[in-house]
Amino acid sequence: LNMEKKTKAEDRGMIFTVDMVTALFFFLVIILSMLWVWAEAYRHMVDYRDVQSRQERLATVSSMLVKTPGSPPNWESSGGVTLSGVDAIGLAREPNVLDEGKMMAFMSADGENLRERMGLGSENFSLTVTEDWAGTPRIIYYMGDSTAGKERMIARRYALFNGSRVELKLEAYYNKK
Amino acid sequence: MKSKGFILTMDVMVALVVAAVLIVMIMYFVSAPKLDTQGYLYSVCDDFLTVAGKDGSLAAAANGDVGQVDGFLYSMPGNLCLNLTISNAGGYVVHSNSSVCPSPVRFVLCKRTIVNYTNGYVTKLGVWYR
Repeated sequence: LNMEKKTKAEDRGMIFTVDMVTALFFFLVIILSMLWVWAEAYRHMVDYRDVQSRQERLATVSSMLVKTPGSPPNWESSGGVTLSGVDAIGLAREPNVLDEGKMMAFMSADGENLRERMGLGSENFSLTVTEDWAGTPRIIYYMGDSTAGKERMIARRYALFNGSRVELKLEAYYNKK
Repeated sequence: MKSKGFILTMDVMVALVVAAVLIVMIMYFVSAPKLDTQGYLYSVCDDFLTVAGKDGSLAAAANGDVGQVDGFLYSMPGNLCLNLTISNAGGYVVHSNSSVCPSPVRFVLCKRTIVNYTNGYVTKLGVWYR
């Protein structure tokens, strides 16, 4: 009878066996890993969408500057420093030919108003127009604040200015979300 | 005793390996998305041909004076590769030049037709990332 009782006691199930603890440990490791992977993937997705939208916006803005005269086309003479009545900024007299009057108006305009009219979002920007950029660079125009934001994006475009080839470098500065 | 379950059976090991592979694959595809930069390449391609067309570099190159257009080509950013070909109406290549670059996997191709006096030329420019 004693032998029989002892055998039954040994067979009786326990909730925290070594197997159970090991299984719980692995289960928790897998669940926590999945949660971490999900959070990382979500963060990367958000970053990716953010970078993509900023990149598309910068490309669009650079095209507007280099290809279009802006809206209205004579905005440089009607907008003033505050750019009142100006819907969009363009620097071209014709596609890829920059206009000196528009460049001068751009440089003297208020930066915050420019940023809005150019269609940039939360990005700060700088614009550099350089002649002979690959040899001995000669900066013709520079405007902006290159210290405003940890991240940076660049769009380089090419045009003619007063008969010379120039590189128009538009840089956008922002902080990650 | 032999039939008692054990946590690390072959089934569990296989399941864990499959789960780990799936996790790594998800991480790879989701966390490293490729940004579409073909639009920017097209912009550079279009800028090059428009500027070279307007300042007369392409017409000069068609006449044999290739210095200006080649200088412009070499002045492009170092992360970009360009391949320029100018052909006459008969398809004969009158000028060709390219950056020293490996062959592209994907590239953007722009074409522009120029008329130099009475002769027509087709200019093709391929742009890709180094």
